[in-house]
Amino acid sequence: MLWIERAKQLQALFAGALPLIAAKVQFLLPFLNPKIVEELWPITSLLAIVSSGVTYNLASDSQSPRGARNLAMAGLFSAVTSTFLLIALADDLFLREAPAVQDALTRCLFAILFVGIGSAIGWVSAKML
Amino acid sequence: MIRLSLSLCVLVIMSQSPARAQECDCPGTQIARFKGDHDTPLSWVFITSVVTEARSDVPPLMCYSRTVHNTSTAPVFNVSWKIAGYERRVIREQRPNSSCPQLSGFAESSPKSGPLYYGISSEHYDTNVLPPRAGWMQQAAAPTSTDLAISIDLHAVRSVFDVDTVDASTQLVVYSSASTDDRKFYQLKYEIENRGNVPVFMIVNLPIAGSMDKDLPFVSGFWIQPETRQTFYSKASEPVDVQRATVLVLDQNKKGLAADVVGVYAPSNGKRFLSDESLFNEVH
Repeated sequence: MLWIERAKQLQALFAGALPLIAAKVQFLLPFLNPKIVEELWPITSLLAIVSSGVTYNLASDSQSPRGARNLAMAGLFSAVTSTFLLIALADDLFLREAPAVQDALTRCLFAILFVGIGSAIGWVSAKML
Repeated sequence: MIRLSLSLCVLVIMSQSPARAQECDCPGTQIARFKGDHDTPLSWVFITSVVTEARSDVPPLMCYSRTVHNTSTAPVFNVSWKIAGYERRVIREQRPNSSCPQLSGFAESSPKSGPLYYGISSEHYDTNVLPPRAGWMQQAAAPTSTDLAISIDLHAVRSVFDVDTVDASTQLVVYSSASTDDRKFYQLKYEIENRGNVPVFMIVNLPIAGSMDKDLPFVSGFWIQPETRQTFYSKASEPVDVQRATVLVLDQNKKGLAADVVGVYAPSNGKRFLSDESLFNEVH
């Protein structure tokens, strides 16, 4: 059923919703300045949707299931690493003397976090749906 | 007569300008003062003053002085003080960053509390302020608040605010005045001054009516060069009063540096081009 397959693509919206939820529910990333989250959620949502969609489609038997799994694992690893780095940055554990770099890195890590989660969600969805 | 007294008023204000280059003081009587002295990185002060008292059919002209002082030895990014209508991309090290808009309408009857966020973490200062009763922002394309309408007070108003980049600072001043002979047809005058040494792109989201947007390029955005003052004239065939207008300031790469609020004369039933909230979100 073609329409069912197409409907399954909507799983990517779940990954895209996470940055929005982070912006609206502050306890999801309680260590970050809410202004940064408010600014970044729209573009990050878009990137997370793309990332989830790519992994989901790659995971089909006709594509590259192994590549999809590797992408998902790399995404998960990136997400976990980003979270720890964000906590360390917010606690001023490094780059304290370079606030401009600290700010730019925080924004990059925020995007990487949700793109990574998105790719993992895409692979899990492909296995479950 | 009205035109003559208004011109004198504008002249007096302008003659004071050079001496005030680095200051941002509110004239009038202070009715509230709140401050937070912290070691580093920031300290803050919020002062509410009455510039002209309310009269039977005219709301008071208030001035709200907000100063955030970066006392640390490094720039502080992402300064967000929503309860005070104040957003800055960056405040340079060991410098104050002030804003003193004159706004029409009553202040709140009791202080409001809210956080002042800074940097990348959720660390913040808890602050108290006495903001305008009608708030700092207006909804997109909405008619202006009835709280401010009807008044025809032709005092010239002035709003001053500081804007920092990582390596430079500037002070922007917005003067606004209005004159009328018959209280039906109004001539509006706006002067925008850049007292610093960096060019900036400014959008002033004031309510407009008729073809005012053709006379006022700053409604959709314009460049103001360092150490210059530009004057704009427009006309309105409906009553005007002092209204809040959100100002967005961008750098040479069109990146948001600051969002603030100024008081300007504008048609009481004018409509805004943009959403104030979206302008505040452009500072990053």
